[in-house]
Amino acid sequence: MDTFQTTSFADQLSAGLVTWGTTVGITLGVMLLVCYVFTAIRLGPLSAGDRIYSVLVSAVGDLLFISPRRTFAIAWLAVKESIRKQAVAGLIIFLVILAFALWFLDSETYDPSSLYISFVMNAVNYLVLLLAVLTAAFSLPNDMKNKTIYTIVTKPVRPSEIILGRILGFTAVCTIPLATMGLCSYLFVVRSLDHRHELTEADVRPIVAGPATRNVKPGSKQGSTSTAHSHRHKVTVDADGNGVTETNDSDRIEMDDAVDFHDRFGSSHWHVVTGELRDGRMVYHVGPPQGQFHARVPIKGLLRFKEADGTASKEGYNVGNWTKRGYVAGGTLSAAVFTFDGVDPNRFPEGVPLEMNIRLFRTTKEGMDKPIIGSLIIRNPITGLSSAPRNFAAREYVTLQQIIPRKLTDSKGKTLDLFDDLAVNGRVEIELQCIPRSQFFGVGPDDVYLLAREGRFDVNFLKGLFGIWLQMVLTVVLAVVFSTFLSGPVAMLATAAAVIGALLRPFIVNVVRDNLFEGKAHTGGVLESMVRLTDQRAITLELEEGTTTSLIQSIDKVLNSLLDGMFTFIPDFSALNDVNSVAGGFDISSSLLWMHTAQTLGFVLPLFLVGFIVFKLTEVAK
Amino acid sequence: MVSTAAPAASQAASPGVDGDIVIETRGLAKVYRDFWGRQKVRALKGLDLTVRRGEIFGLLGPNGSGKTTTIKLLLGLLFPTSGQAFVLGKPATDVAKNERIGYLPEESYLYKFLNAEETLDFYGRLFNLPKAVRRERTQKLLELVRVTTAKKRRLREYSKGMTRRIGLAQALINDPELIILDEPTTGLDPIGCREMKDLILDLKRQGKTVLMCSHLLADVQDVCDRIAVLHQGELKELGRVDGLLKVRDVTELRASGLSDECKTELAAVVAKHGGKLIGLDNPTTTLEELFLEIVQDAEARPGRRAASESST
Repeated sequence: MDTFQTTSFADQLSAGLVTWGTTVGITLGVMLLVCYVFTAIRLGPLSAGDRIYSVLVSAVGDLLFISPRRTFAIAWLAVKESIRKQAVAGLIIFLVILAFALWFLDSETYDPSSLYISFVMNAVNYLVLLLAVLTAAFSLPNDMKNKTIYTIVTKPVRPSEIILGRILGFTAVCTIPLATMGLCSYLFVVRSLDHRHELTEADVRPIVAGPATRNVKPGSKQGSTSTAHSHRHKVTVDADGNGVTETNDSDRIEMDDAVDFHDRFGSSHWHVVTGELRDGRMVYHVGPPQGQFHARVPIKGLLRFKEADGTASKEGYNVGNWTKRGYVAGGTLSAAVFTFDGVDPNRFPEGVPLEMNIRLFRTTKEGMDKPIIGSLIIRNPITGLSSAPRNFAAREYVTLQQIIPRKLTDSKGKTLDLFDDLAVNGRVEIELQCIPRSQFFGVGPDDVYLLAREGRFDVNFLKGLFGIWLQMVLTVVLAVVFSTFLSGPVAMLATAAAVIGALLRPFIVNVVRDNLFEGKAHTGGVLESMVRLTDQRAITLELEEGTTTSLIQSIDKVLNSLLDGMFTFIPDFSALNDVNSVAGGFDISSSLLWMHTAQTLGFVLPLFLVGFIVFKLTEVAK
Repeated sequence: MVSTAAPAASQAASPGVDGDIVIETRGLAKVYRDFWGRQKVRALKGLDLTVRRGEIFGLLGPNGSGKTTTIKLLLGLLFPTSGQAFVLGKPATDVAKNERIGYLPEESYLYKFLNAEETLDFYGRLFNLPKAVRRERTQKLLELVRVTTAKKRRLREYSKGMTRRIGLAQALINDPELIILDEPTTGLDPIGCREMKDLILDLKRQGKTVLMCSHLLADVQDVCDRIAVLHQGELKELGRVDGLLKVRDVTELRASGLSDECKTELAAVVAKHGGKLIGLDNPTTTLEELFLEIVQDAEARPGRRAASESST
C-alpha cells in the first residue's frame, strides 16, 4: 500500500510558499550576480550594472505584456511541427506493448487488477516522459540550426512568448498521446479482467437442512460456477434462481474457530446471479464481476504503540525490517492504538467500515500457511470504556475489511453504542493486538483506516493520469529550458539525465544525505564506491586509513554536497506518481492533487524564468 | 552561447529628432568571439550610417565585408560589441520596432512543414493581426507573389523561387514601413528578378523604405537610390548611386538612324575640338533585356522555335 498525505493542502501551503520563495529568490539572485560578474569583466562594473538593469527592466515588460495570440501561435506551430514531422511513434509503441502485455501478465495472481493497472500506468508514464524528452528537446535547437528562428524573432515576439508558447505547444502535443494511451489503458484493464462464469442446473444441488443452514430460504441451492480467469465462485441461489456468488478468494481462507467475524478481502470480486425459468428448466445468468476495482477514501488516524507491559511507546518493536512500520508482540500487552476522528452516525449510519493491511512477522515455522489471529478493541478515548475484543484472522499481503457495528458489547456482555458510548465528538480509539505468542503484527500510520466511502474507479484512474501529466509537463519544461542554450542532442541528454534524477530523487538524496551527516549509515560517496567496486571490498569493511583514503573521503564530501545542492533543483517525480494508489484501490484525495499541482508549479515557474532569461541573453544569430 | 553584452533596450540615447531617419548607426562594431571569449573576427568596425524614409538603400561588398552582420545587428539578431543602432527611432534590440519591419532573410528560412496559406497566417498571428485582416492580407499577398494555385502545398514541395516569393510575402504581411531584404534576388530566374526589382520600386512608390544587400551589382544599380560599400567591416563609400556612377570627363551621345557619313562627320567634330573618340559603335543590350524579350515573344507566339544559331 502506498503512503498517504495526512495533512491538508491548505495546512502546507503557507510554509511551502515561504520555502519556495526563499529558494527561488536565492537562486535568481545568484544567477544575477554571476551574470553581473561576467558582464563586468568585459565592460567594466558601471556599464555592467547599466546593462543588467536594462535587461531586468525589459524582462519585466516581456513578462507582463505576454500576448496570448502570439503565444498560442508559437504553441500551434509546435503542435503542427510535432504532428507533421514525427509520426505517432509513441502511440504505436504503446499499442504494441498492450497487444503483447497479456502474454506476460498473470491473471491468476491474487490481485490481477492491481497488477494490470500498475503495469499499464507505469508503461504510460515512462513512454510519455520519453515522448516529452524527444519532442521538446530538439525543436528550438533545430530552429536555431535551420535559422527559421530568424523569421520569428524579427517579428514583435517577446522571448517570454517563444518559451511559453513552446512549453504550451509541447504540453498539448504530449497530452494527446497521454489521453489516448490513458483511454486505451483503462479499456485494456477493464476489458481484460472482465469475465463471465457459466452456471447450469447441473452445477447446483439443493441444500440439505441442518443446523448450519437454518437461515437459508427454503428451496435454495448451492454449487460452484464454471472456471473463468483461473477461478470459480461458490454460489447460493434461492428458489427463483437469484443469488450472489461468494468472492473468488473465499476458498483460500481457512477460518479458525477463534475468529469472531469473517472478513471480505479487499481485492476480491463477486457476481450477481439471476435465474429464468425457460421450458420448465432453470437457466442461470451470471453477471459481470462486481467490486473488482476500488477507489477507497480512507480516514486515517494517529498511531501510537504500547510496550509488552502495556506502557506507552512512540514506536513499536523493530524486527529488523527497514520500514516505517512498528511491530506489536503477540501474547503480551503490546498493542498498536489508532485514534480516529470523524466517527459519527451521519457519516456511518450502518456502522464503521474498517480496513487493515497488516504485515506479519513470524518467529516460528509452525502454521506458516495459516493466518495469525489478532484482536481489536474499540475504546472511548476519555473514559476508557472498551468493547470486548473482536478477533480476526490476518494473512500476508491481504486487505482485511470489516464493519464495526453500531451495537457492541463490553467484556461483561453489556450492550454499548459505538457513537453514544465509545465515540467522543467523533473521536474513537481502536486497539490492535496480536494473540499468539512469538508472532508479530506490523502496522504503520497508513495501514489501518476507516473507509469513508468508495469513490469512482474511473475518476481515480483519471487522477492517476493527472499525476503522470504533471511529470510530463515538468519534463517538457526541462527540455525547453535546456534547449535554449544547448544543442538538440545535448539538450535531450541533459533532460533525460534530469528526468532519471527526478524519478530516483528520494533514493539519491537519501544516499547523499546519509553520507553527509554524521550518525547515518555510511555507504561511501562516488569515489569511495568506485574504489570499493574495483577492489571488491564489502561495505562493512573500512578503507585503510591513510592519505589516499582521507583525500577520497574529502573529495566525496564535496561531491556529495554538490549533489545535495543540485537535487534541490530537481523535481521529485515519485512524489507526483500516484500509480500505486490507483493500483492499490485507494482514492487520490483532492488535497493531494492540489499539492501535486503546487509542487509542479513551484518548479515550472522558476524554470520558465530561467529559460526566458537565458533565451533573452542569447544571440539568435551566430 | 550566451552573450554577456546583453540587449539593452533603454540604455542608449535616442536618435536625432529627425523623423525622416529610419535607420541610424553610430560607431557600430561587432567582434565575433569563440566559446572562451577570444576574438575570432572583427566583422564590423565603427559603422556610421543613416537611411532616410522612402529611399532604397543598398549595402554592397564582397563576402565577409560585414553586410549581413550589419543587417543582423539592425534586426537584433546579434548584439553589438560597441556602438549603437536605432531602427524606426528605437534601439535595435527592442522587439517593439519589429511591428513596423518586414524582413526577408537570405534563404527564406521558412517552416517547410507548413503550406503557403498557413505560413502567412502564422506570421500574421505573430503581428497580433485579427483573423479577418490575416485572411485578407494572406489572399492579397498570395496573389501578389503568384502562388495562389499552390497555396495548399507544403513548402517542402516548393521550388527555390517559389519559396523566395513566399518569403517575400511573409515579410510584407504586416504592411511594414521598413523592408529589409537580404539578397532579394537569390534563387530567382530573370523574370523573378525583374518582378522583385519592380516590386521593390513599387514599395518605394508606396512611401516605404527598403534596405537591401546584394552581391549582384546590376540589381543594386537598377533599384537603389543610395548605396554603402563595405569592405572588411569598414565603410568605404557612401552616396547616391547616380552620383557615384557618373563619369565626369566622358560625354555619351545616344542617337538612332545615323548614316555612316554622319558617324564619320561626328568623329571629325570630336577631333576638331581636341576630344578623344573612345567609341563609335552600335551598343549591345544586356543579357537580361535579351532574355526577357525572348520570353515575352515566346509567350506571345507559342510554338515558334529558333531557326538556327544567330550569326555574329
